[in-house]
Amino acid sequence: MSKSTKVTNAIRQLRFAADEMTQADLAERVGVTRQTIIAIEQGRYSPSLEMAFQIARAFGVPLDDVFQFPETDH
Amino acid sequence: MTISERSVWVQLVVMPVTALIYFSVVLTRAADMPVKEVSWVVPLIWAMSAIVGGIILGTIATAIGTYARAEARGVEADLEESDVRDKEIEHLGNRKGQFFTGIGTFAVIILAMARVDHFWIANTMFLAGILAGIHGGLAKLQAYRRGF
Repeated sequence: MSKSTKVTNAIRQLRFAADEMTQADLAERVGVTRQTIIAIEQGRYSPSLEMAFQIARAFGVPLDDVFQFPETDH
Repeated sequence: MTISERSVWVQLVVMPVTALIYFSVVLTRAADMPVKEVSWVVPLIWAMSAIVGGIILGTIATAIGTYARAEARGVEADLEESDVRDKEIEHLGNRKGQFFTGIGTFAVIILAMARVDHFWIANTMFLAGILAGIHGGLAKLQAYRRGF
């Protein structure tokens, strides 16, 4: 069973909205491997803040549109 | 698959196989004679060289194999350079492996204090290194496959 991070994301939907951008294209724009994009998309890896901003910038949307973090009582 | 992940897979094959062969040879010899007389230095040098060389050559060989298979099928080979995620996984695996390195170091100090034969000191350290490598490798593989 995969160990999902608490951070969820809309990368898959954003890729399809961006002319069906491939994982390889996004990886190239962000400067990481396709494996890393796959891991982020599937919630198996939380990117650094810097990488998160790079991903949001690749789609031309704010960070909140790409990544979501569930509300807690704390 | 990145080069780093490929290297972890190779490491998890090379280390246990080499260790199994080494310990089979040395412990078989030790069963027939006092450990002071067992020739373990040359086999240990061979084993350590086989591990380092095996991981390097194995990683190169699997990369060539992947490239050749992709070429034959007319698709792009799944050979990627390592990135920041690979580095994080590398650190995580090394941290996990340190558990056995620590135990091994402690055991070696105790053995040295007890003035046991060098055979036991060297082989305990070697075993700790092997266990650290396998444990760290499994942790890396888990991080690659299931996340961390």
